[in-house]
Amino acid sequence: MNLPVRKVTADVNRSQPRRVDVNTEPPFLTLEKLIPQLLKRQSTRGQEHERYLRFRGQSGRCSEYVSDHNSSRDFLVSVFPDVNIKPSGESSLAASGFIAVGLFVLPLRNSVAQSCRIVPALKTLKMSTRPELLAPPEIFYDDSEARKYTSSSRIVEIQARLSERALELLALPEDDVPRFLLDIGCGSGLSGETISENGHQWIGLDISASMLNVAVEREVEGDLLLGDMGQGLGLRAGVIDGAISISAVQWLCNADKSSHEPRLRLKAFFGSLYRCLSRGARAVFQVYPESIAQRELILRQALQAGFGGGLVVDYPHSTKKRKEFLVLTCGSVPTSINDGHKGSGSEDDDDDSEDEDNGMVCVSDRNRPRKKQRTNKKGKGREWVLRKKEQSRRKGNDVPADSKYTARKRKSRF
Amino acid sequence: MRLITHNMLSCNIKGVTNGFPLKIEAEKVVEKEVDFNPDFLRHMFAKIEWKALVEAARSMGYAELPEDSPDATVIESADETFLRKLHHALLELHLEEGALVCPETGRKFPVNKGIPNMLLHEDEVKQTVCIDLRKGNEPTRIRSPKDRVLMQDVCIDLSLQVP
Ligand SMILES: C[S@@+](CC[C@H](N)C(=O)[O-])C[C@H]1O[C@@H](n2cnc3c(N)ncnc32)[C@H](O)[C@@H]1O
Repeated sequence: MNLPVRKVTADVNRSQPRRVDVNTEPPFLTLEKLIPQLLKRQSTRGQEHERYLRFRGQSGRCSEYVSDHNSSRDFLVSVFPDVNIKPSGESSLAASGFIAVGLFVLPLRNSVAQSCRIVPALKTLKMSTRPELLAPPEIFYDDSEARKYTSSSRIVEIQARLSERALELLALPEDDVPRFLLDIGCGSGLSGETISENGHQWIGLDISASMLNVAVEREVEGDLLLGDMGQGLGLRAGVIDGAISISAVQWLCNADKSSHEPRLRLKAFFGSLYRCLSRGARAVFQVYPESIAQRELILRQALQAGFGGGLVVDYPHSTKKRKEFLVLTCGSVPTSINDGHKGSGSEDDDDDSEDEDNGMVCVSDRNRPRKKQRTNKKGKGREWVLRKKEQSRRKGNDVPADSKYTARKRKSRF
Repeated sequence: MRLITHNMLSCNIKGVTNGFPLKIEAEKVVEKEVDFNPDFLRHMFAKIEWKALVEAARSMGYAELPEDSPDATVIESADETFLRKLHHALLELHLEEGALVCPETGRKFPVNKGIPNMLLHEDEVKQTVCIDLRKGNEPTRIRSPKDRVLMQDVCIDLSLQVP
């Protein structure tokens, strides 16, 4: 990282921000040194802790303003020795003081450094390659980011490809009847456009007004709603034929406000989605989970909401091209809510698409919660048991002899 | 926003039991022509809440829809007069500026540039209450991340008690 004159002293005990003139004060730490240190501290904390490091408080322990004279940008750096949440009295992001990102505190709409300058400053610093860690979505996707996002031909192409794939996994009936779909985190409508191209109608939901404004300018065909999926979807039961979400759901894994609890926001989201989908409908989410724990959190909440299904991974062996799709089915077998039929059904469909993509696709079983794996009612069958016993014998293990009782059916209550 | 979407939307403020249909306060309505697709209309018809649609269309200045829901024969028949009207009401009328009003609480959701703002205030979001077993059964809101970790498994989500 090659940064100009940003130098900073960090005194965590002062409660008032102090302006540091980087040209006169003796520097204690340079930002270049500070950032890796702070990031390291952040990542050595436990998983659970890390998630809550991002929060907002009205009286954060601010330390220093840092001015970068070259680009005439100001920002505030703060060290948080402890996580400290003020639970009450926060109404809107802009009204209160700060947003904490990891161990940094950035003033928003502050007279000295305005959010519109802070967020770009952070982006150029590339503190994190994950936008989710920089700022809440409605702040991160501001006007300039929304425009940048949609005018990058690379992004447009990637999003179109992801959306195309998600639609394929949605496996809508091929009867040429348009369906009524939901695009969650629709942004500027790149994913929605793919839905329109495939002849379907859609509603798009997004939390960023700037992204939606770009969608309006681009005259997308779907209806747009400004809303937060973590607050649950306000849609009637059983009316939607399918849902896709491209690169959005992982945003729910962060707590951007002190009232946010990722697990409950995911729960509210999946619960309301399950309700509004018609029976047999599917939901396909392309996600970028930050960690295995995050992936499992998302998946677990989906399954708890009643969905069946699992994870489809495209290009599993490439770090760059690897893409994950959560393929969820909504009660396709009405008589057996939890007996694994749904799971195996969706696997079959996944296998179809595997052929189409020249075997580039695999269903990742390892990441599926154990509950899913256990639910196959039929069991493995006698042949399978015999084969396994034979294998074990060959290894020289002591294996009971085969008899008519081997792998016999048990009573269901067993 | 078109009426097809309005017909699916309901208000999900905490405590609201019947947030459907949202009342339309129209300030500006625009019409955009859309390709007529009878198959789609037939597919959607079963999902439509008819009374809400008639009411909504009327508040947007379109009063051609019959008061009572037509039966299946009308939908399937080769005569497309009805379907054309349905098509116009569902897909061609856009609420550009105005508001949607929750029938139960009167809360207004403003509509700007055709986009309804459905964001809820913090106190409208369905609350979660934690029961801290260490301090008896007194419900408390989660205060700090430490509490969250400790109480993770005794969280009770009241929002999911419905329906
Ligand atoms: C990477 S963009 C993808 C946009 C679009 N799906 C596409 O493919 O171009 C992620 C979008 O998710 C939206 N988002 C993030 N958190 C959200 C939330 N809680 N509710 C609704 N939308 C959210 C962001 O505003 C952003 O527009």
